[in-house]
Parts: sequence; C-alpha cells; structure tokens
Amino acid sequence: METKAIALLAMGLAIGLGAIGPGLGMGHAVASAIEATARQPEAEGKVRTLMFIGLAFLEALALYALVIAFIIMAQIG
Amino acid sequence: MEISFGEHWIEHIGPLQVHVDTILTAWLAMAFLIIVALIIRFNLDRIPSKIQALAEMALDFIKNMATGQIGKDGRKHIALIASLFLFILTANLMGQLPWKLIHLKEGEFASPTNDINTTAALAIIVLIYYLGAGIMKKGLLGHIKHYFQPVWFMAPMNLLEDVTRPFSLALRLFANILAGEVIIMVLVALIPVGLPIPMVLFELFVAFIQAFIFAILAASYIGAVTSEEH
Repeated sequence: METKAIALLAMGLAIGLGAIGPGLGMGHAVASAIEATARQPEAEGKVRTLMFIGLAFLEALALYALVIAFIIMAQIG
Repeated sequence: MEISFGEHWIEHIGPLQVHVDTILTAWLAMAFLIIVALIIRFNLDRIPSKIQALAEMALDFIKNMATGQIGKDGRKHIALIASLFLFILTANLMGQLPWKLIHLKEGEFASPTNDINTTAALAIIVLIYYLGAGIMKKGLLGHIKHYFQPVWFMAPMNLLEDVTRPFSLALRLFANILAGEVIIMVLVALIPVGLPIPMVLFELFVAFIQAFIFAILAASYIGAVTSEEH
C-alpha cells in the first residue's frame, strides 16, 4: 500500500516537475519569435518554421517526463 | 466511464506478438494514400482539378522543406520525406475518426502512431536512410570522418547522436499522439458534451505539426550527413 502511494506521488511529480523546464523554455522561444517577427515582418515564414522546430525539441522533454509517468503507472498497474 | 490506453488487440503468430488494430489502421492509411495517389495520377490535366491542385500544393510544400534543409540535393531525397510526411499526417488524422463505434475484442482502433512500434519503425527507417545517404555521398571513410568533426574528441558525442536521434523521433511522435488521445478521453469522462470539441480541433493541428516536425527533422538529419562543409 505504501509503495503504491509513493509510486502515485512519483507519477504526479514526474510530469509536474518535468513540465516546468519545457514550459519556461517554450515561453522564451515563442517570445523571441514574436519579437523577431515584429522587428522583421518579412521573415515571418522562416521564423515560424524555426520556432516550431525548436518547440518540438522543447516539447519532447515534457513528453519524456510523461513517458516516465506512464511507465510508473504500468508498474503499479 | 473508465480511462484506459495503451491496450492493443494482440494476436500471436509464431514467436511474434502482433498488434492487429495498429496494423489494420496502418494498412488503411497506406491504402488511402495509394488510392488517392492513383486517382490523381490517372486524372492529370493541364488545367488542374481541385484534388490535383491540392497535390501540387503539397508537393511544393514538401519540396521547399527538403531543399531548405538539404540544399540543392534535396530533390533526390524527396520520396522518403514526402512519404513520411503524408503517411504520418494521414495516420495522425485517422485517430480523430469515431472508431469507438466499432467494438473490438480488446483495445480499439485509433491512430497507428499511438503505438510505439509504428513510430519506432519509422524512426529506424530514417536512421538507416540517413546513414546510407551519408555513405553513398561521401564513401564509408568520408562518412566516418564526419564523426571526428569539428575536433576528434567529439566522436563519442557524435556517435551517441545516432542513438538519441531515432529515440527522440519515435518517442516525440508516439507521446504526442498518445497524450492527445488520453486528454480527450479524460475530457470525455468529465463532460461528454461539447467540452472535448476544442481539444479535438487542437489535435488536428497537432497531427499536422507532428507530421511536419518528423519530416523536417528527417530532412535535417539527411542534410547534416550529406553537407560538404561541417
């Protein structure tokens, strides 16, 4: 019973803490992209492409945390 | 209403475990693409019909993506990148169809990309392809030499990259699609009427973005190994 409670807590913490970093990073990335577009509107297409690639990398970090949460969930089953 | 995910209709063929639902939906996506491609192919016209115009637009989009990442060699690799993009896009979008109406023995039909086996297979195809492209372009020695760029002690890092790249490709696509399905499932369990609709619309956007990211990363990996200067 104890183990299960700790595992559930770990699952919540894994995704909760794991989302902080990517969240900050994505905020920075999008802010910079908007600023770049505002300064140079003709570069919008290129900036958007680069932003989405960067966002995919950042998002992947949060999703790794989610995968870990799923693995813990499967363990306690 | 219970929340369940990651369950598949498993059949055993010899020593192999087969996820029947994933294979059926993957074949359905492939059949759809092949039939649409054949229809467009046999109705080519100087004045494009609507569907032909759409296909030309998609080809232009993918061509720009490939040449943007790989350079002028990009046209050679367009077959793989276009196949990846169109297959993943179709597969992702298929997950939003009302599959729940069909009852299976176990699990249910969904996007084939919500199974890690599908995405891992796609990622391994990309790995083999870009290693092959590097060796074809620069020869085996030339390809090995690029691991020692820019300085020799970066070699372990560069080798490790060949492992982490397919891993991150596979996990990113799989986790995105699965997370989307789980979120919709949770919303349906909370309030079944109305609430899931914005999330479903967002999932349509995610389906496109993930297909785009997968294809553009594959293109940039090919571009990295085939580029002249480093």
